[in-house]
This record gives sequence, structure tokens and C-alpha cells, in this order.
Amino acid sequence: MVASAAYREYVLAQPDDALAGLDLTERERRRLLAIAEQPGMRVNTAIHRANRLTPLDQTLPFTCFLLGDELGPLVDRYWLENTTENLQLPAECERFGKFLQDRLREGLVSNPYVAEVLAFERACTELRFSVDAAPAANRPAPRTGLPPRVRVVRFDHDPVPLLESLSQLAPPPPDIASGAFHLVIDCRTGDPEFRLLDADGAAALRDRGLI
Amino acid sequence: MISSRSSRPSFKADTEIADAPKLGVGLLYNPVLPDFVLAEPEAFDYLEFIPDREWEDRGVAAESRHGMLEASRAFFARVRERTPLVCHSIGLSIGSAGIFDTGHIEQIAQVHAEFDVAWHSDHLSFARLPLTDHEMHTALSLPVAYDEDMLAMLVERVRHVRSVVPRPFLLENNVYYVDQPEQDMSEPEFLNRLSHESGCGLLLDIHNVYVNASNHAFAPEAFLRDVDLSRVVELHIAGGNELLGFYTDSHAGPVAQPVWDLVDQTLRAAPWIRGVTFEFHESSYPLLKHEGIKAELDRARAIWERHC
Repeated sequence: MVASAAYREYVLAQPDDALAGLDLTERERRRLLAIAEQPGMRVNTAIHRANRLTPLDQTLPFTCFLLGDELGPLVDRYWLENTTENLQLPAECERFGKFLQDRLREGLVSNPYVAEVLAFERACTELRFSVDAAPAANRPAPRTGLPPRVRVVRFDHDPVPLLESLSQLAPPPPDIASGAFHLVIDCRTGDPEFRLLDADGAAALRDRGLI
Repeated sequence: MISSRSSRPSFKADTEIADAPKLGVGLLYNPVLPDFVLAEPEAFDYLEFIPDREWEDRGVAAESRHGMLEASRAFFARVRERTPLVCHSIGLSIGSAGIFDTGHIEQIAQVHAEFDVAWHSDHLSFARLPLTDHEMHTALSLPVAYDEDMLAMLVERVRHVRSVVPRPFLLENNVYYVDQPEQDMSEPEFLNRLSHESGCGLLLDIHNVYVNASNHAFAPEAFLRDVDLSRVVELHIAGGNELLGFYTDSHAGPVAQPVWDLVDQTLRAAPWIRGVTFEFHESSYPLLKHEGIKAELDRARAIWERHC
């Protein structure tokens, strides 16, 4: 009833059907019905939604900004399909990231920058919440072939003006160059450092099958 | 008016509360605070942090379930060199009838061992629900029913927590926006019995009392008269705002004057108080900034020094 105003309405309209299958005492049943009709439940639902949005806003702020008016319907669907076991930031970022990738494949996201910015923010979140032991920071990870504290993200648009505008929560400028760009995120010394790979560097990583 | 303390009653010998150090004014850590914490170490006497936010939980089925985040480990180790730490967990969900997460408690014990935390607390509430094949998190801390069977379950669970984590354990009074009818006890009676029968201390969130009093039309002073303040070890203070006709515990910005008045009255009458913690949500940092945080801490310190 906290997560879904529709279910709360269902409980009020058809309590026998809505509560069927729940192992309730008579007192618990009376309580649930009394709670369902209180206006404070609207506050609970509003706080529930805000608390579910917070992890997404904290880990994927640029993606959320780019989605604009599409964000609301997308999170409604995401929350309907994904009850969550916990609200830890990296886990919630990954769950929503995968959900959004599926919607991108379905063509349900109109902004042309979302895919690459989503990949960038997922990589940043993965690095920010690293639990790797410090001595292993320079050892190549089996999955990526890169040091665990390093990621390379491919952009189809020049990431410098794109990320600069998003860092000001401003729409991307209209004249961003398109092409293949590879942005290195390097956290080996602590705070992230960013640099663009030049053509030779990109080719070398491509030859090694790393990008 | 709440009665002034005339003597200091002793906690029972079977509880760790009496050993809790008297710390003073604390600050609840959030992601916008690293700069402030490192730049203004004199502004607070202890730093309270939410351990669940500083570790990765790979799920109850994972072989190696928890991992402390590298950056968190380094940061809190640095802070601990000069400032006491206190834990305030959000993940135990001690009131979930179908879930008792002993792995979470063992991880809390690990954090204590690593950072020598002065005490730890969690919420007298539930947020985790067992579904057919997985858990659901409500994304909201919901109040337990103040019933005899809930009390019996919680007493057993608190005893388990205390047996695993060798530090004082506190439970925090919750905020609620709906009333649960037909409860066996009032909230103060439930808090008093839970504390006395289980050996836990109370983390009295004064802002929660104020929020509940505002939304449910009772006098907060009466609530504080009914709670056994000799069981209160820590106070939480925060700001709030209006939403859909209710006053909410949003932790938005500075503490309201009526809350300060209640803090003053409570500190005067709580003989085992060990700390007062200011908390705010990271999204309200623009309302406070460094100067605003410091002003709230200074104001708490003035009241603390008047009474403690």
C-alpha cells in the first residue's frame, strides 16, 4: 500500500480480493483497512517514491537530466517491474542501468546522448563504490583486461562539451562533433582523472580486444 | 515542563549502556560532508555514520556478502584518528516479523571492531518484507505496532544484537503519518518496556516526536513526560517541511525553534544522555552550507553545555 496507490485503492474497494492470501488476524485486517483510508498514506507513498528516486539521482544525475519528461514514465515502469531488496547506490544504479539499456534497444528513449552518458555514469559509479583491496589496484581485472580502477567508455559524440554542459545541468550545445571518442576514467590514485584516448591509443586497446 | 533530574539511576548491570562515553554534540555524516568534516573538526565532538551506506551488500545468498567500500574505509579511518565515531544503521529492519538478518548484525560487529565505535543504533521500525522468492524493501521506515507480541519478538532480537556486538545498542523512536488502531500500548509505554526488558538504550529523535505531535495533535511535552528519560542515551535533531498537508521528517535544513525548546527540556531531565546529533539530508545542503551546519552545531553545543 505504501508503494502503490492503485493497490491501496483496490484494498479499499475490494478488501476480500485484495487481501486474499495474506495470513492476517482479524485485528491486523481491521488495521490495514483503517490505514488504507488515512490521508497520511499519500505522504508515505510520496516519501517512498522520493527515496527510490534518490539513488538514481545520486548515481545517474546526467542521465536523469537528459531523460527530462521521459524520466517519470520510465521510473514508474521500472518501479512496477522491480521491487528492490535494498537501496544501495551501486546496486540500484546497475538495476536501473540495465532496465534503461533495454528501453534504449526498444527505441523508447528519444535523447541521442543517453546511451553514452549512461555508460559513463555506470562506469563512474562502479569505480566510486569499488571494494577492491588497494594493493590489487593495478592488477588487470579478468573481465575488462584493464586495471580494476580504470575504465574506458566509448562516446559517439565529443564527451568534453557534452559532459561540461551536463555538469552545469545545462542542455548539450547543438554543435557537438560526432564520431568515435574513447574517454579514460582512471581512479588509481584516488579521485577520478579523465583523459581522451588519441587514435593510436584507441587502436592499441582495440588490437588487444579491450574496447 | 519535564521534571529536572534529581539523581542518576543506574542502568541494570546486564547492559552496556553505563559504559557509553559522554561525547557531546555530533553530526550525522552524509555524502556532501567530507570537506566539512575534514575542515571543521572542532565543530563537532563525534561523527555518526550510517554503516550500511559504506559497505556493499551482495545479498543474503552471496558467499562473501559484505565488502567495505575502499574510499569509506580510508575516510573513516582518517576521521577516527582524532574524532570518536558512532554507528547509526538503517538496514536491520528489526521489526520485520518474517526477517531477522543475523548477517547484518555480524557485519555491524566487524565495523565496530575496525573503527572502535562508541555505540550503535538502528530504527524501531521495519522496511524489509519477505515475498515468495525474494525480499522487498519499502524505501521507507515504517513503524511497528505497539503490541505485546511485537514487544516479545523485539526483546529477543535486541538480546541477540547485544550478544553479538559488544557495544551499547540503541533503538530510535519512529516517525509515522498514519495511526494504527487497537494497539496494546502507547508509544512511550512500548519504548519504556522495550528498553527495560531488552537492555537497549533509547535514541530519542526529538524531531520525530515533534513531527508526530504536529500531525497527530498531541503535546510533545506530554510524550516526553511519559518516556523514561533515564533510558535515553542520544538525541537526534533535524529540520522538516510541509508535504500534502503534513509536517514531515525530511531533514531539510535548520532545526525549528520548538524542537530546540524540546531539546532543552529533555537534556535537563535525561541523566544518561551521551550525545546530541544533528542530521540533515544532503539535498538540503544549499540551505545550510558550512556556516549553517556550524550554526546548528554551535546552538546544540550551547544547550548541551548548559545541562550536561
